[in-house]
Amino acid sequence: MKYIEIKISKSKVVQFPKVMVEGLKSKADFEKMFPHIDSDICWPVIKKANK
Amino acid sequence: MSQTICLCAGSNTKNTGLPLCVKIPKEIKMNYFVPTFDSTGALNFIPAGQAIDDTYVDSQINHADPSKRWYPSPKYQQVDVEVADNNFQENRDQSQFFLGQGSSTITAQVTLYPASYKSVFDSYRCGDWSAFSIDRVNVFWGYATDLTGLYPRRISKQSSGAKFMREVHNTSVSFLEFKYLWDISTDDACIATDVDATANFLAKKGLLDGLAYKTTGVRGIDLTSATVYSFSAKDAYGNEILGLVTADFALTNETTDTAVVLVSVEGANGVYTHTILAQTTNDIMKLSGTSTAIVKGFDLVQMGTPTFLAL
Repeated sequence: MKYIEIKISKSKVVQFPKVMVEGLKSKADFEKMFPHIDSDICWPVIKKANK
Repeated sequence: MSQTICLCAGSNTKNTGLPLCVKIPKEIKMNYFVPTFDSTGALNFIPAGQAIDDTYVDSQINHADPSKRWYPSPKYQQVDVEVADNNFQENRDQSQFFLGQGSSTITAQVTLYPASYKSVFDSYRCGDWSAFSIDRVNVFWGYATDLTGLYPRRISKQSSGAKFMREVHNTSVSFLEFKYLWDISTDDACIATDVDATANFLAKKGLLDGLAYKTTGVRGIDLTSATVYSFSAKDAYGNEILGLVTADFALTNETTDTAVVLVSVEGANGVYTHTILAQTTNDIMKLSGTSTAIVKGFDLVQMGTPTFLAL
């Protein structure tokens, strides 16, 4: 499985399986799916990867 | 691999020479317990020609298949070996005939281990187990009757067991005593080693079981919604497990027998939140771990107990 890795703090990394995030179109979509994950940090990376 | 082998049990050599340098088994310092057979029914052993180095030993200790995995014991502080006398038939004319060798019993002590660790030792009573032995000078001892490879020595079924001894004030610390018997079909003459083995055997440690707990403290996970659940990850001794990532977890929909992708985020104090794609309500879901978690030292298979129902 392919992952997009995003460092969310000094010591923590979140791995998003590509198949799970490639359909996300907007920050609102991301926040709806991952309400507990900081969208300000993660969404720009996911958005770029989805282009 | 330069393996030594058994010189008895049918060997026809009678030559008595011995080179200056031979390895002699010293006191057992730890064991690597190995299931005698893997899940396919094949004997577990180290094939001839396999280099026994750190990479190989680590790969066996971290094997994804529990039926092929090696399970290193703690280092023993004290080991007593009791070898019973050989059995002979005594005849009326005072001649004797050899009947069989005496049994060999190992009694090992580990100090300052929790009483609950007794169940780990006791678990080797269930099933068919064998063991490699590491002596106090880091020499790796197995069992060989031919040159096909080095085998772990078989332990007599149902023979092993442990007891926990509390400290005696000003006299002794608490300790666990583990006892097992080598299978009577095995022979000390077949204790063998690979003189080229290079691994630091005495430095190896076994895996820790990872368990999932609800916020209430009972085993299981807390379902937040159809797509989000969380749990606290702890080892079997109540310590938080930190640093796990998405790739360390595997989630299976047991109803449809399919793998479910998830995203894992670690919060404070080893609390993990997983986001999944919505499943059919009441499908049986089972959380588990992957080989990457095993490499980190954790076997997460117990996280699937109990299973949970999708919302």
